[in-house]
Amino acid sequence: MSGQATAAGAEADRRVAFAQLMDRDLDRTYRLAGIILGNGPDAEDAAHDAVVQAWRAFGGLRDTTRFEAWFQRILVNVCRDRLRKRRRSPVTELTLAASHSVSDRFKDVDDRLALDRAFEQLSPDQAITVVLRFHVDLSLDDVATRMGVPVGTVKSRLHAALAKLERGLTGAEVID
Amino acid sequence: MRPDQERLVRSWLESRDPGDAPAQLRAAVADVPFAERGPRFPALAGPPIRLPWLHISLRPVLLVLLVIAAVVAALSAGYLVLRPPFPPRGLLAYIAPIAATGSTGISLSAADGSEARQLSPTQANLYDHSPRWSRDGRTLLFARTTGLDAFGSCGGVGSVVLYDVATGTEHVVATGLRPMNDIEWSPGEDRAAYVYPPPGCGTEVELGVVDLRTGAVTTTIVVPQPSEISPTSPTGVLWHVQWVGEVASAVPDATVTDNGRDFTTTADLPSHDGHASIRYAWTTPERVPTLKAINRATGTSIELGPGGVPAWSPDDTAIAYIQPGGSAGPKAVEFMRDHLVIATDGTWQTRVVADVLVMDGSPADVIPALSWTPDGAAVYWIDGSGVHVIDVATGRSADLANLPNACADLQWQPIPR
Repeated sequence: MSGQATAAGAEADRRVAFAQLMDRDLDRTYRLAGIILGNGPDAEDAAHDAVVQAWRAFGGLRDTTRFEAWFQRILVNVCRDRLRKRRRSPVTELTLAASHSVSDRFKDVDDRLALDRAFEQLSPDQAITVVLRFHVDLSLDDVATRMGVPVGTVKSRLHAALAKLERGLTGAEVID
Repeated sequence: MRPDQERLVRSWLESRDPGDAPAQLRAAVADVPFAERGPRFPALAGPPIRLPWLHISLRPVLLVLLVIAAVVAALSAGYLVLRPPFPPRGLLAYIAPIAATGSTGISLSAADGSEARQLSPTQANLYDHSPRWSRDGRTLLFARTTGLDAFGSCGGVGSVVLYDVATGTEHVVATGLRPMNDIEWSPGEDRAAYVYPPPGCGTEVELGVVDLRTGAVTTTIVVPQPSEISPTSPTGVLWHVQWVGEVASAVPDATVTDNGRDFTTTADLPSHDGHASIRYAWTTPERVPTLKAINRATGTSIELGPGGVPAWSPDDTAIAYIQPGGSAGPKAVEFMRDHLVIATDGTWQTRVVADVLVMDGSPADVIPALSWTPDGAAVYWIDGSGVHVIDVATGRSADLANLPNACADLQWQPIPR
């Protein structure tokens, strides 16, 4: 078999392998992006962008058993970039209320709105740290790996983020 | 934060859950690995310009324009004949996955995809990497690791291998070594030096020098304690070989300093003859890298501004790097239109050779690192969309579409004159 034919067959296998991995992880990906970004349309865009970036970098992944962590890191970076752009070009977010389900578990609407406002005040890195720690329930070490920073940095970001969220809940002014 | 507040935060995060991926996203994602590669410059791939007002009376004008165009084309062709071939001649050696085994091996190919052959054996649990051409382009030196452990390349057995391109035969010069991160010829090409460990292992650092005629190996522990884990890279600080004259040493790829709030990563890239160095640095969280040229003899330096990892030309008269630009326009929102820049050693005057489309993202992560072809006529790099080559004199570009997207560590064969 010529070298080119061998390469073509390997390329086809690679495409199929990637498609299978993404099909398995897409729901989790979309949901994580939605929680970080706060609305479905942004989550769709971010998830698609992350998939495109992951496909282009897939050849560099030597151990596909680490795909989930590897891809989650790409998704975190995409979401972080989107949050940064959103911070530079603030747009009144009218979609947050629409994204909440009808069967809202919050009895105190004020608490929910307070958290909405306080979360918007977090830096992108702080917001993502909170989501990875308290929703994905990653250990501090795993959060550090996903975000490419030391555990100490994760702790300091978490401390600052939780302090802001707590001030938001208690009604104190959230100062960035 | 009190436990009841933590429960509130968790419940609030759950309330932001948008549910499973919608069908249109699932369909779009399923299409990603099978979609055709988009045009290299999507902003320019618009519909053809139509001229509905063109009519017969303009034919003489058109004929004159066509004649002028033909003359210009003929003159240009004559000029191009005198230019070096583009892309440059020579085989390309690169590493790529071997589908049959899941290993990574070395392959050879011409720039147009012809003369393709897999150099490494199709064998499980084998990792060939770091191909390095001899100056006459006849021999490839590379590192081999066998007996890889389940978690990557920290374990295993290292070997130093020479491959004769003409006969297609390999010679294992030395084996039973520790797995390597990098290997390089000595200037006299009678020895090779390698560095252990591979990425992410965080162990002591060892430099090995191999006599390529006898296979005798001399090893030195460079850093006895576990090498520093970089806070900005999950693979840790990598070490590579540097020959100064006929003396080999192990040098870290970069140093990371903590200023209490952020981390600054700094790498020094010396010229081949050591007379100057380019310092490449970036600081979290912004990670826009900057360059500084340093005269090693006088210690004077000059700031070159923002740029990606640079590369010295083979004759040390210039460096090439990608300079961050701006948006690539509404038709290419996922790209940035950056610039390939050549800076001349000494004056450090810069000139933009060509525009380059680079995927948008954190600059230090996505601005590609460049390499020069051995004849100094072109630079090339690999990104997510493949291998790209640009003639530094004319700005003419080529995408090497016949090389696999997953290739890495691409090395251009020297063609002696």
